Amino acid sequence: MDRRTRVTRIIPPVLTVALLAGLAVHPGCSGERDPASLFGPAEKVTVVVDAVLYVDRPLPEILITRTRAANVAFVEEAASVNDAEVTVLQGLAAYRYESVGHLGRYLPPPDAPKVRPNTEYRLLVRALGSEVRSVTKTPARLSLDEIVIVEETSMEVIRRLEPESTLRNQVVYREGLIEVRFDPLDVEAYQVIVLEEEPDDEGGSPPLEARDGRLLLPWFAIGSSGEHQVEVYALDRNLFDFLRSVEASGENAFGFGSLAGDTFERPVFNLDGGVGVFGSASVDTFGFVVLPEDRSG
Amino acid sequence: MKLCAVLLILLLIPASAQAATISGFVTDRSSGEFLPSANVFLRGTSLGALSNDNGYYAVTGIPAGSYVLVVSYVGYETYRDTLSLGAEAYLRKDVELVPTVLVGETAVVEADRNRDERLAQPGFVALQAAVLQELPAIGETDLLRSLQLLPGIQASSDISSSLYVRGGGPDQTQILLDQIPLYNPSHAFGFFSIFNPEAIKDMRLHKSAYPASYGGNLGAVLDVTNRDGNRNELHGSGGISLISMRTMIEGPLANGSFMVSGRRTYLEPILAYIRTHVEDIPGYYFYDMNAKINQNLSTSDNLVLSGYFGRDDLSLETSEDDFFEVRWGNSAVTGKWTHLFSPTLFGNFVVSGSDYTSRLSANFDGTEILFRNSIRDISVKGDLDYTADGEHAIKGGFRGTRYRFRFNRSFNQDDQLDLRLRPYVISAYAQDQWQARPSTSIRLGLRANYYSERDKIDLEPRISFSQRLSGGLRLKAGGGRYHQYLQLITTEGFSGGDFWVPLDNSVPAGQAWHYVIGASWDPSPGYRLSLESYYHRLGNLVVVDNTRAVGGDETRSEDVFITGGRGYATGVEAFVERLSGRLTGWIGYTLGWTRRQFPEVNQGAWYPPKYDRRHDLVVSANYRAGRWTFGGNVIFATGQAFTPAAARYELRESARTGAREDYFLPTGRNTARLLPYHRTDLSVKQDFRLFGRNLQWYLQVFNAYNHRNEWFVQYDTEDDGVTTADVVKMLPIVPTIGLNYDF
Repeated sequence: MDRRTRVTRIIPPVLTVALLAGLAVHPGCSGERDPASLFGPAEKVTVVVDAVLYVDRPLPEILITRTRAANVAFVEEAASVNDAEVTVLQGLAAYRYESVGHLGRYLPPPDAPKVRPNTEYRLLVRALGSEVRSVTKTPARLSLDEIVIVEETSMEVIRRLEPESTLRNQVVYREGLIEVRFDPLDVEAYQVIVLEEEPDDEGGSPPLEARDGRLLLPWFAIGSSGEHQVEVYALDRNLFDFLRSVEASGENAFGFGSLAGDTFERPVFNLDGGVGVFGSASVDTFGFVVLPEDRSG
Repeated sequence: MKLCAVLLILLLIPASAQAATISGFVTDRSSGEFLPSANVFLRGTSLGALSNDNGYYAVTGIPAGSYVLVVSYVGYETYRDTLSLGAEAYLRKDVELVPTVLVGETAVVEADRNRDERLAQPGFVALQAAVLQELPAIGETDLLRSLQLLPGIQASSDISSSLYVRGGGPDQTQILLDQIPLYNPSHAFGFFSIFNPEAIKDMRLHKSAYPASYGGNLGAVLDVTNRDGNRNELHGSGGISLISMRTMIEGPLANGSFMVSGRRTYLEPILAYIRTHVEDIPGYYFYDMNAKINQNLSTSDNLVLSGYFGRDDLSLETSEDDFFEVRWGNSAVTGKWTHLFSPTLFGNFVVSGSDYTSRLSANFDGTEILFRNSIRDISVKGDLDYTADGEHAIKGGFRGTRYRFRFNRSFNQDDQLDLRLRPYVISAYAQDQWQARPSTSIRLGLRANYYSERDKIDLEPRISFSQRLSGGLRLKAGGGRYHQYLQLITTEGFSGGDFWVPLDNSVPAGQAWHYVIGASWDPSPGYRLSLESYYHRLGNLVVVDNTRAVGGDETRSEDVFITGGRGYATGVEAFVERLSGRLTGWIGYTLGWTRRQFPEVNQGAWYPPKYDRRHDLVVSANYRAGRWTFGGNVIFATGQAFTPAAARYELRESARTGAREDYFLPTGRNTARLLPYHRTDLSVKQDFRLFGRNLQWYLQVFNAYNHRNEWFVQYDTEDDGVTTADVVKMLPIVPTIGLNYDF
């Protein structure tokens, strides 16, 4: 029997056996997964910094915590770092923060001046045997010049609101679009947060570019009635990098399944030796009252 | 221009002085369809040729004398005729082959129609409609899903018909229907492909190192040809499944034939009924139509007009103000003229236009979110086949395509991204199929592309080599350089409303080098074994940048993509196939590695994409017993890669309230694996006759033992501070019944 004949005789039984073996063995392969295997190896404990400076406001309270393994219950007390050395430096001045003793909270010295615009601030944190450093340059002051209602398609101004008054700014729900106008600053993006009288969620917008100094507010972020406060933030590079990258990863990412795609990525922290955010922003606000939509007509 | 000059010189070479030539078309007597790759030779000599894609052959350099012309084709009775030829004589000899009716041989006939290409070209696969119909499927017989059963080709999920060929994503595979590129080959968010199985004549897939006649993609080429239509009698076929109905009618028309096919879902009444009991059930349908008219204008001229129209439409209205709609579809028309300039020079000229639109819109409380993508292209294409002598078959051609793109994203009436481009691509190629020795075949090719956005000519050398050894053993090798100018924006595992954007001069075009080496062995007709290794090196890759700020009025590619990526895909594929007899099928195994690296992704480290699979084993078999056919697929593959959470941290959501929000830190990208994927599909079919008509009923069971394979991992934080990792599973067991019919 030559080689060809041997092979051609072997293939049908091999094919049959492979199929039958697969049919027989496969159902037995359906072992359950160990839930712990869905988490990666715990990362080395890392210092977490939470500090955002707002122009013309006092130096902020800073939170210093530590990362925890992803698959254990997160207890705030256990994650807190209360013995860190926290210093914010501006020029030759150094502002040494004091721990309040719990939840990783640190307060600036009482005589610290307010945060200045267009100024560089540095952070130095010594904790858990490591050193964390970062730098932020605060944006210029943001001033909202005009709040207008524009027609949805022509985008022509229907009427103007008064930036200084909340109660006199009365807007019928979904009547035109609310547009905020300001002199654009030298920043990458802005964030808008709409606050209602009884807020159930303070989540802000993703970073928004507004090179023309105009931002349209989406109605889905505004309640159908009641008093509203809008905060517009001009973001420094660090805050912008963190917000844009944390928004694009994980659950908040746009797209079906989020984590189903390749979107789970480490955010951009701009912190040497730690994670979190050390950023700055300038902010301006305005208020308005939403009147319920008239559906009678 | 140099290419054109070389081509012209080659065409001016006299075929063979003082010698005769025989040429003609080889067709199927029963249907009149052209038969490509038929073997034509003169008995007792080394003179011969294979018919081209249009069934045309030319044997040149024949000394004066008397010969027996033999035309053979697997599955047909061999044709023999005695001829007397004088010096410098030319004989036109059209040959009609008579199909043999042998039970169990159909698969061989179909699968070996592209034998010549398979032997000469590494990484080449051919599948015919009849083979497709035999494979167990989910809901509908589907070309792309059937291809996923071949080695080197993977699916991203149970619901996706996208092709991941040898480590390349779906955008790296060019899909052609009757020589027109299709931009989104899927229905139902990737669940089905747009190819109506009734209309398909055959398909060719080049997994690597594709020849110079194709271009424009970094990875593979899938070239699908629809039926020309039966020239001799009116014939129809179709099928009814649980979700759709399809029909094809073909027959003679004037001096040629026609073919019309259509398919449409009838889910609307079912969905409407469910909607009366369950909220938020969307409305959905898809349809597609194919039409073709084939006319002989003279003995040397043939004209084919064909068209494809398909559409998907999904809408969900959750309240008076809130809705979600996704619509997409391809339309394409082609005119093809084939002309015989001389017995040794055959021309094929195509004018085509296609239109792809995709629109995703949503409205929440009066806030509109809109994504729109449209691509219109007009192409002119020409190919010339020249039989220079017994050793050289020269092929050359050109293609010019003008595109009109628009990709627009707006939020709350504000255009946030508006890409509009009207680039064009001009390509020319030349290729020599050189039979250096009776056992040695070399294919040399060169393609040149000019892409208007880059104002630069990209040269793409291509080569393949085939050496026949003793005992049916053949060694093959190939390679080439490739460029890609259009980029797909899609979500892995979900391919509804895909968006295509061209790369402008702000981003370099993607490029790839392919290297393939392998061996195949045909121990006897109906059996095939092959072992092939590949290496694809990729450069200038791009991925969508999800971290851009919203509302930037971006108008350039660099605003949309993360650039500077590179990667590679390498592996080994083993394939054992039986094509004839009661038991047919194959065993395919792939051992593969795929990696990517971008400076701005995964902190610049290399990572495996989701679809990187170390092992992929498929056993697919059919057994025929009289009127009954039993089929089965067994699939086992390494689980997909995913990125696990490694740590957790909290930051304040707002300085005002001090409320904290949870965040996760990932490990390196795709460092973990889902559980291995395994699945078995079963099918049973029975042919029967009713009122004089051939019918077939079938029962197909997808995922027969109901193993819920893992799809992706979702992390969530409970109120008690515990993080849970939920695995979202893929499809359970899905039985399908249906009926196929002929009339």
